[in-house]
Amino acid sequence: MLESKSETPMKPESTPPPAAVETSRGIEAIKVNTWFGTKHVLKDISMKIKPREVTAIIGPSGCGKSTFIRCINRMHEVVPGARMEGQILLDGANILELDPVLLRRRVGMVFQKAQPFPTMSIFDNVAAGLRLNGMRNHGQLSSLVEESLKRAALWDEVKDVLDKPGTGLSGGQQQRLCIARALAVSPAILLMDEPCSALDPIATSKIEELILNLKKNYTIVIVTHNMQQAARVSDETAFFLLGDLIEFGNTKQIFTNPRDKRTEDYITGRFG
Amino acid sequence: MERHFDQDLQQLKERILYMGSLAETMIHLAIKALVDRRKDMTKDVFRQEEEVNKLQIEVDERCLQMIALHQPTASDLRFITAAMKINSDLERIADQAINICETTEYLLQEPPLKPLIDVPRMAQIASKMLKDALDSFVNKDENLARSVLVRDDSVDELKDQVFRELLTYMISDPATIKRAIDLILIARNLERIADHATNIAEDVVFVVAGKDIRHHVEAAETTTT
Repeated sequence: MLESKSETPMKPESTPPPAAVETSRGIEAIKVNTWFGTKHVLKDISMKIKPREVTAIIGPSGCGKSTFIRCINRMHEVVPGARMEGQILLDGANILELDPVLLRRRVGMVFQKAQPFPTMSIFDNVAAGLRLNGMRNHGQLSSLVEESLKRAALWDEVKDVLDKPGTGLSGGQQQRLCIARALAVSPAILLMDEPCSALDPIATSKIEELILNLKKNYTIVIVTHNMQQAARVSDETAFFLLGDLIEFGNTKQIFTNPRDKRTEDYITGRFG
Repeated sequence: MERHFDQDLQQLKERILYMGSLAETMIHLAIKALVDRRKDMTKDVFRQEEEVNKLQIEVDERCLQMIALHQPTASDLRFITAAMKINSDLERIADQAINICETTEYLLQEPPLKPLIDVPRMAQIASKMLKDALDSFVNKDENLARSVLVRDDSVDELKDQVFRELLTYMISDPATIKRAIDLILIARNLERIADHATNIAEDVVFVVAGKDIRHHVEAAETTTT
């Protein structure tokens, strides 16, 4: 059993962050169990997330889907009283044996509500992670910021207002800014916890397009309450219920012919 | 938990069943008009076809609306897509019944060529196939649906038999050619009805088991795996 432990302090580096690591073996969860205090949240979750594919995690509120993805970048353990058992392997390496800071550089995360750093400009928001990693060269920073904003499909909309506050953007733009911020440090994996739940349909469709483009280079795990979104963007879908992984498989199969009655009942809206 | 959507699905099922019962009656009346030489019976068939045509449009509208408003998934999605296909098959069955009536009206202007045995047998098998396909749809009975598929071959064999027999009439007496061809056309119409019933049964297997068994894909997959 591994208790939560304090994070290693960030070390400034003079070299730019490494390019995206090939997640040739993806992510593998082996008998993952988690608790908040005495509450057993995830029960024996074992699943393999394939590299450069989009994996959707669906399930009713409180089923443990967010907890699961927060285990992947070790955010679960920073919650007081939270603990985890079992193993999560990233490219075959146990994440608990990795430096959490380095791990989170490889595993970026985007949250439900876009949270740009409120006092920073659009440019600084994207550059923040790079600067924390020790990058000072303005030319290098500019080109990485531009590249990240382009990858997040936001560049054309903000290229003339890079010095304006990130919080001045629309909700959908702020979410793409957060995606650009996550991409700036060249992660291999992108975790998305309901990235579109606060967005209108047009902004949602832009993020979905972005997800489909990003999967060429990144392994994406998306938690969503929107069944159609899971069906549209993901290659594989996992259905969680009350902390158990009920069914995990090809998205097309899950949405046309689920094997488990509980999956069927959930995705057809009979409960949840 | 019963959903509002379940009521929509139930209504859709009821409309398809009603359409199916009309199609069955049309086949029955069309063949009865031929065998009993009762031209007056064809009128009912023409009237019912109009109703079937209206139902076809109504069922498609219902399906489209359900897809647009509810974005169905899993068994709901399979049910609705199958309903659209079954809808089309039922309308085609009704068309075949009309074709039989039209040919019958020509035939009834002439004396009977021969006592009809195989054609009514074909009609009986094809009607039962349609009835069982629809029953399997209502009861989600995969085995019953699969039993329909097997019977299609016997209808095909009967059609070949009818053709061979009528060929001998045509060879021996050219005066029988027109009537013989008309009967062959009717046998062909019945064979098509059995094919549509087979399509419906295949759709039922898809709805119930999620397996696509059309064009013997299932058998091919089994042998390759």
